[in-house]
Amino acid sequence: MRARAWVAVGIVLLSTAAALAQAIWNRSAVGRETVLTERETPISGGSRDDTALWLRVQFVTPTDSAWGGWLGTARLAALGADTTVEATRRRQMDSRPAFAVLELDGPAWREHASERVADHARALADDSSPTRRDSLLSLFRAGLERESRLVLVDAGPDAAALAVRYPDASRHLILPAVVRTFVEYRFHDGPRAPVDTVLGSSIQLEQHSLLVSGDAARLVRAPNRSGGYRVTLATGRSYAPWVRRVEAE
Amino acid sequence: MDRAAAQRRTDQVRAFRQELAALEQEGVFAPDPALRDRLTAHHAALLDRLARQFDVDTTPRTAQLSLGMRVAALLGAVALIAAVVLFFLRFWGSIPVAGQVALLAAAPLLLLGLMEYVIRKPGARPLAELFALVAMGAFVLELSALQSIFALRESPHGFLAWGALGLALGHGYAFRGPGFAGVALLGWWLLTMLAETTGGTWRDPARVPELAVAVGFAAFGVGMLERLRPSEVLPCYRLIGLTGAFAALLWLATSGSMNGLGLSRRTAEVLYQLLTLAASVAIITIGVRRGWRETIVAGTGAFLLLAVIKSVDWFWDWMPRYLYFLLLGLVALLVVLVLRRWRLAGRPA
Repeated sequence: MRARAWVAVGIVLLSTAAALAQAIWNRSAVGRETVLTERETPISGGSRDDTALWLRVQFVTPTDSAWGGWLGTARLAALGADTTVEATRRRQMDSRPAFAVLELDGPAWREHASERVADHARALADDSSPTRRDSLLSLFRAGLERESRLVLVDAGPDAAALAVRYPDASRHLILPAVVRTFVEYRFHDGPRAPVDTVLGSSIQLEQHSLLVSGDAARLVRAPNRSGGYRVTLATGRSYAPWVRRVEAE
Repeated sequence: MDRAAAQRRTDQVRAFRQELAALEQEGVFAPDPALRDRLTAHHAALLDRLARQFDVDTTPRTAQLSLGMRVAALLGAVALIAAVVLFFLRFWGSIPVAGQVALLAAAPLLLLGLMEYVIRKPGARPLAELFALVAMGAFVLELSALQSIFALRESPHGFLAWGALGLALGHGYAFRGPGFAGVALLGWWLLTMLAETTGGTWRDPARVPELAVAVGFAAFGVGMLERLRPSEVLPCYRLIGLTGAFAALLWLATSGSMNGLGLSRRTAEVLYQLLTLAASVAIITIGVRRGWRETIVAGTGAFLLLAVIKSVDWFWDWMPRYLYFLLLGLVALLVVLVLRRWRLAGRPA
């Protein structure tokens, strides 16, 4: 082969080596390990044309209508976002790399669940008989029991600092994420009512779906599986996550 | 000599032969038979050598067939890239991770080997370019799939690797398809890096659109370096660079609030409209002087787009529609007349 072909082959080999080195380095030490259930990691995607098995990390994001959304201006500023009114007028969208802290089945989840039950009860109070209301509320509670108990509790630019603040790895997952800020318009009633401009924010995990293969995939896919499954999620040196084990519940 | 120069020489010989035949027919010139034989033999040997060495088109028919092959190869490359990606997705669930990695790493290398083998066959350049494009597609799949398999941190450096491969194939083999892709991918990577260094993130490269203008004109500047070889790749730099730069300028000219210089919306729009106007005229002038078709097309396109956008802003609401389109037609006519004037000025007296 001529030199020009070796250059092309060299680029492919070098890039492959760099990607694999990054993976090996991340997994060379297990930083944190958290055991999740099927509620937090349901099967995602999969079709005749894509045979890979993905587990999607599901979590609850609290809502807040204040300026900056639930993340708030202090966290957004720490991530490098300009949250002033002038900057928001000039630039309506922004995105920042971050690390999200997700709490598993803790106070944040209990608060979220009780708030939702209370909201639902209020909504049912006006147009349901007490018997019907109780029945609908118990159905709603049963639905909540199938939802993910992972709740977003914090976000920041420095994963190591977050790990110090949230040392219990079995309770708190720290995952790479992207924080986006955007402008929201709130319309009031009436044609001449003013329109509020509010800075909102959202957070997404960099890798919201994790690939599972081999025995773990067979266990999750097993057609005669009676119960759920437990997923041991590990994060490495760069906080990139992977599925370490899957066990039947 | 590169392939473009060889093709130019081939076209010259063909034109010379046709002109000589016409002069003979018109009775203006009749070369000595010995001289004609020497010329014919020399040209035949030259064309044969160029065809073998550079795979040039020696007749109009072969040129047409080559064009057909290139179009078919491009469509084939798109379909084959889709086939490679879908094949992998169809079976990767049943392959262990080590097998997935081996398959992903082997695919672009095998396709590059196939390309190198095919290009040595006479008349198989378009087929080799097809394999080059599919190898690029397999390389994009490889890095993307490795990122998914190992849940690697997201990064823009994949664009650097893909762009480098595109340019290596463009410069190494004078392939325009990989060359275009290489310039675009590398330009995008450069833009993401500049976005990071100016306080933004690589996920938001449009944060300061002026950076896209700078990167675009820098790519055009590279395309102006006529010493850079092979010459087939230079239009890739010029066209992709100008497309990026003018797209960003037109965006700024119409959405001034997006400017990254802290200017007020109105000031930014006026400034970038004037800049687009000046830049498009300058680019058309350069294109006409150097004889670069893609440069003229890019400059004229930007000028006309600006004219359409501004005329809508100024006249759409208060002018009768027929008058608006008449005005637009007159602007296009003006451009045609100016270009015609330049064209005539280029003719011998």
